[in-house]
Amino acid sequence: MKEQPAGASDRELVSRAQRGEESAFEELVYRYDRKVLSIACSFARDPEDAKDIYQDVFLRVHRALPRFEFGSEFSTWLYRIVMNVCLSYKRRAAGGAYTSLDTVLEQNPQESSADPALRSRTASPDRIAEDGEIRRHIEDAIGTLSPKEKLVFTLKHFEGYKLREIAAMMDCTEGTVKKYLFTAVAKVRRKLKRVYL
Amino acid sequence: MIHDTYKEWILLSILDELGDEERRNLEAHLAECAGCRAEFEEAKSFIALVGGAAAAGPSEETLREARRSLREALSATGARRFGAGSRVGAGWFPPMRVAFAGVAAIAIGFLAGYLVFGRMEKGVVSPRPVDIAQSDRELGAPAYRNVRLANVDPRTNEIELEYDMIRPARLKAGIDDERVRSVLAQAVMNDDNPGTRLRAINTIGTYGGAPQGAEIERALIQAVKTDPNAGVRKQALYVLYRMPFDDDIKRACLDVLANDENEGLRIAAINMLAVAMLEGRLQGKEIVDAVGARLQGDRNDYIRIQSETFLQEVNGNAQ
Repeated sequence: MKEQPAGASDRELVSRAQRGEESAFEELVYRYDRKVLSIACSFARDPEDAKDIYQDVFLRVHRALPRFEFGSEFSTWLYRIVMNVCLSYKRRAAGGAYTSLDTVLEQNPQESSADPALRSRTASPDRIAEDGEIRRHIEDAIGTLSPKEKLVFTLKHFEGYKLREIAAMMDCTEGTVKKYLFTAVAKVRRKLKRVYL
Repeated sequence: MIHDTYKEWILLSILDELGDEERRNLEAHLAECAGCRAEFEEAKSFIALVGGAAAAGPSEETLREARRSLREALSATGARRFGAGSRVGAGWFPPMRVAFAGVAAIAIGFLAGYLVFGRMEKGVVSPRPVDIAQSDRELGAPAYRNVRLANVDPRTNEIELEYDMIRPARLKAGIDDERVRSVLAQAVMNDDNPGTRLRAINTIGTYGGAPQGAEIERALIQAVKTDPNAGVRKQALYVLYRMPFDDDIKRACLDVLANDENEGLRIAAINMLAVAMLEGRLQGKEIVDAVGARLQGDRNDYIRIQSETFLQEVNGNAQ
C-alpha cells in the first residue's frame, strides 16, 4: 500500500493471474505477503493465529481474483480483505494465553502483591518492558478492545500506518479511524494506568 | 470541552498526524495550560510504552511456513498450485474419507482401509532413492499418516476418519521420464523431511542434465524461496544455477539476494549472478540495482565488498 514495488505492475500481474498464469499470482503473493503477515502478527499476537489469517487472506484472494475488476488498486482490495479477515477472525484457543489484568488486580489489590508486574510499578517503563510483564499487560488491555478498535490500534502503533492509509484499508473515513483510535487509546491507557503510573 | 479536543490533538501530535495549523494552535495552548502539558507528557510516555511492546515482525521461518501452508491449502482445495505447476497435491496424497462401524472397530477400519482402498492410490513418493530404469512397482504395506477423527454420528456410533495413505513404491525410468520428474519435484516441494528434499535435489543435480523441465524448475525455485531449511535452499540454488538462466531463475536469485536471512545464501546468490553476468548468460538493470541495494544496505561486510566488486566488474565490462 505504501509503495509500488519494482517490476511488473500489479495490474499487469493481476491480468496475467486472471488468465491462469500461476507465476503471476505467486508474484503478487510474494509482493505483499510480508506486509500481510506482519499485520496479522501484530493483530493476532500469535504466530499460529497470524499464519491462519495469512492463509485465509490469500485463499480468499485466489478465489476472488478472477472476478476482480480493478474497481480499486489491487493493494487496496487486498488490504480490505486483510481487514475483513482480521475482524472476523476467532482465535484458535479461546481466552488467550494471559491472565486478565483485572483478575490480577482483583486478586492483588495491595501494592505489596506477589505479582511481579505490580511489584515493579516503581521501575522504569523500559525495565518493565524488558521483563516482558508490561508487554503482557498491554496485550491483555488490547484484548479488551472491540475488533475495529484493536485493528486501528495495532495498525497505528505496531505497524506505523498513517491514519489515511488505515482509512483506505478499512474503507471508511479518516474521522472514523480517529474515533476508533481515541477510544482504543483511552481504554488501553485506563487499563495500563493502574499498573505503570 | 475544548480540553477534550486538545487531548485528541495531543495524541495526534505525538503520532505525527496533526496538521500544521492545529499544531501551532496546540503549542500555544500548551504554553498556557499546565493540565494539558501534563496530559502531553503522560500521553508521550504511553505511546513510548506501547511502541516498546510492538512485536518483532514475523521471522523468515514463519513466512516460509505460512507460504508452505498456503501452497498446501491451495493444493488441497483443488486449485492450481501456487508456486508450482500442476494439480498434483490431491492426487499424490489423497485425503481419503472412510466410514467404519463402531468406535471399537478403529483397528479393523485400518485393515479394511488397506484392503479396500490400498489399490486405489494414484501415486506415492518413495522415501528411498529412486532407481532409474523402465517400470514402476509398489513395495510393501501402506503407511497411515495424519489420522484424524473427522466426524462421529451419535445415533449410529459410526465414526469418520480422515487420513493420508502412503505406500512405498519404486519407479524405474529415465530422468527425462515425466513420472520421475514429477516424483522428484513433489519430494522437493512437499516432503516433510529436509534430508529427503535434499536427496531429491541432489538427484536432480547429479542426473538431471539440461533442460530439466518446467516442473523441476518450479520445484527448485519454490525450494529456493520458501524451504525452511537453509541447506536445502542453498542446494536448490546451486542446481538452478547450472540450468539455463531464464527470468524465473533470475528472479529467484534476486529474491534470495534481497530477502534471504542466511548470509551464506546471499553470498552464493551474488556470486552466481556475477559469474552469470560476466559469462553473458544473464543481463538486466534490475540485477545491478539489486546488487547496488546490497552495497548500500546489507549488514554483512563481506556482502557489501562482494557487491562493490560485482559492480566494478560489471561496469568495467560495460566500458
